[in-house]
Amino acid sequence: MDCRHLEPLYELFLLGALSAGDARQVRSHVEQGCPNCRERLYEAELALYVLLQPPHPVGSSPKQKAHILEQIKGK
Amino acid sequence: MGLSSRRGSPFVTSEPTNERLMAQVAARDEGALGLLYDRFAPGLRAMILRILISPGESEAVLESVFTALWKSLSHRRGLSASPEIWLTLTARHDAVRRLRRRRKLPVLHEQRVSRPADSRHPGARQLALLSARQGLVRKSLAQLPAPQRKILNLAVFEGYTEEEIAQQLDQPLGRVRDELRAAFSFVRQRLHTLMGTWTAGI
Repeated sequence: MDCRHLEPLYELFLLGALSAGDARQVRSHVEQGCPNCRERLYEAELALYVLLQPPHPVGSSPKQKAHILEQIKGK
Repeated sequence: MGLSSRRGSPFVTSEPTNERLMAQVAARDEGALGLLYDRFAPGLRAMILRILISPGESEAVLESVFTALWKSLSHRRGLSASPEIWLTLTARHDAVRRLRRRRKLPVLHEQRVSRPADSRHPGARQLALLSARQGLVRKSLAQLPAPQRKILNLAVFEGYTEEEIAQQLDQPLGRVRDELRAAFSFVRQRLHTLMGTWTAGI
């Protein structure tokens, strides 16, 4: 499957920044099982992960952790 | 649950891997979710705060993300990415959804695609490499030209679409599209250079 024209779009697709038409093209191509697109999506996820990493993490909250663990009981 | 010791090596203790913790969460081990929280919440909180500014809303996002992780794993649905990537993108998605609601902007189109949970993707290996070269990664990405950095930040951290960025900057949509594509091409190429390629063609 020739999908080279989609290559610049994967990060923008994951961000939700594309027009509806472009987003539809990417989604339908990936959902057809294109292995190239699937690989590119993984790369795009990795690129976004890197961009989103903060230089300085903010401390943990034991109170919130306890709250989350309480919330998930029985779910 | 404390730190695990390796089977057969009672004197060697090590941090459980993310994969092991995920398997334990899938077996409904709440302590394992707690360890994942300890590991990832500080970084996620900083990222969410950058997007939302509001500490109250940021806490709500963090809670919803870890609750979603629990539901997804404990109901055996698995994740479509490694846990750090899944948590980061899910948290960003939720934070941007709230930010856009605050700004009375339309809901973004669905950003997920149907694909199976897959442990075959290159995430874990690449993430270990990136982690080891974090300083170099930051230095390299800091070389992104300023105009491209500006519109990339508008897309990544402000949650604007291409069209909205063009309106914000009063620039033609075509130029904004070109700049955004060039910015991500720069990021991809730098990452490939830093990590070595795992696919051909870029």
